[in-house]
Amino acid sequence: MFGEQAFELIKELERNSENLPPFNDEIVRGVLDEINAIFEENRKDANTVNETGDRSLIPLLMYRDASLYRNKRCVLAYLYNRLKRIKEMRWQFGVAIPNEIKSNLCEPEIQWFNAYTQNLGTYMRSIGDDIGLNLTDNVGPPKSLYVEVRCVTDYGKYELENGDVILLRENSQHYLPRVECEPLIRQGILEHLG
Amino acid sequence: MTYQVVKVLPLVYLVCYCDFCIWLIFNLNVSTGFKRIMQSGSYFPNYFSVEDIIVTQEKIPCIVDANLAGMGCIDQSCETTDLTIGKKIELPLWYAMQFDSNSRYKMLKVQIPDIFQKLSKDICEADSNAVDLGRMNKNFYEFGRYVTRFDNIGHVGPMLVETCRERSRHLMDLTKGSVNEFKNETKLDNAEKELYMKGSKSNELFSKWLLEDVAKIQTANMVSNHRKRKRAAIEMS
Repeated sequence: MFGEQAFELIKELERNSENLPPFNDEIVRGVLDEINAIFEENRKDANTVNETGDRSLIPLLMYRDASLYRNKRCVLAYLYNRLKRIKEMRWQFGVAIPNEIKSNLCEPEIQWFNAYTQNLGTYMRSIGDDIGLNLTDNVGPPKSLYVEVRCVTDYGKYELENGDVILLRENSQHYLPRVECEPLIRQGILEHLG
Repeated sequence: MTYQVVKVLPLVYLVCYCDFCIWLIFNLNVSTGFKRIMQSGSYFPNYFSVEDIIVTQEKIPCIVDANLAGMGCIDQSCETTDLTIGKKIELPLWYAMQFDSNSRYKMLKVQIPDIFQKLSKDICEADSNAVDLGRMNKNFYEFGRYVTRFDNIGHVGPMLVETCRERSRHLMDLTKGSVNEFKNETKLDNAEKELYMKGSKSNELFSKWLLEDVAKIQTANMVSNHRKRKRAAIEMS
């Protein structure tokens, strides 16, 4: 039965619905080989049908043809859904994604991520009256200018916009401008105390 | 305040429930008007949909209706290279789909799977809430939706709608509990599970809004997931 291998890719996506599994080079290559093999066989048999006019092979040709399209759909869906997750990562992790995750991407995917980051950056610089606007900030409507935060990890020194340097140590609490600590909260370095 | 709650809460459910029913009815073969849409292609809701690919991988019983040269490879139990008339085989939906009643090719007769047969229909009609849909098939509704195109008698479609209608009331009650409390997930099919998640999520948000909870800035979902995973990995090693 054709198409089993390609379906493995889809199952892999479904099993890891919340994170990005390593790019499955082996299976993708296997599926591409299968597609080529099916195509070759079909071409051969199609020639025979044309020459002899024997219609008994037609069902087989149709079956192989359907398998080709099925394989194609599975591979494309695999690639596309991975890209969608990578895109989502840009919004959630910010410009730098953790190395453990980056090692799961294949080379073209890294290139795509860099290009996407660049495009998004260019766009965000171009809006907001020439000073730029970071669209990944303020995901919820702000209620106050300052928020109370607790530090979750040992982050080290952090320089605020007014030049003050604060030391972010684990379990230390701070009262900081919302604008400046929101990215840190999103990245899981600070915790917002309600 | 209490008055407001009483007024708004059913509305939240109603919206959820109506959405689902409309979605189901729209996609079923219940009226001939939709028949055209159904048969125009298998790519629902879109070409890249993982769920749809998974559903179309389901096996469906077929009877071979012509001598098929060289197609023995389709069935692993078949020892000859050809398939002969009358042989029963199970084929994935993505292939069997071409052979619905409108098809030009009559090489295969597609049967209705057991779970949508008369007996199951009776069970679903008697007490649909007791049925372990998740165990019967993880994609009961989606699969059923595809089966309707092979169903000449036309009972599968209405049965799906009826089952869904009966069960959604029960599902609505379930959403009142919190997401973590609910354990018996095998009873639900995937579409219901998603509906359940959405229902209890909006329920939670709604009660938060009632308590006038201040909007807290949250750590991004993917970040906290990644962190949990990392911690688990460290603990394992």
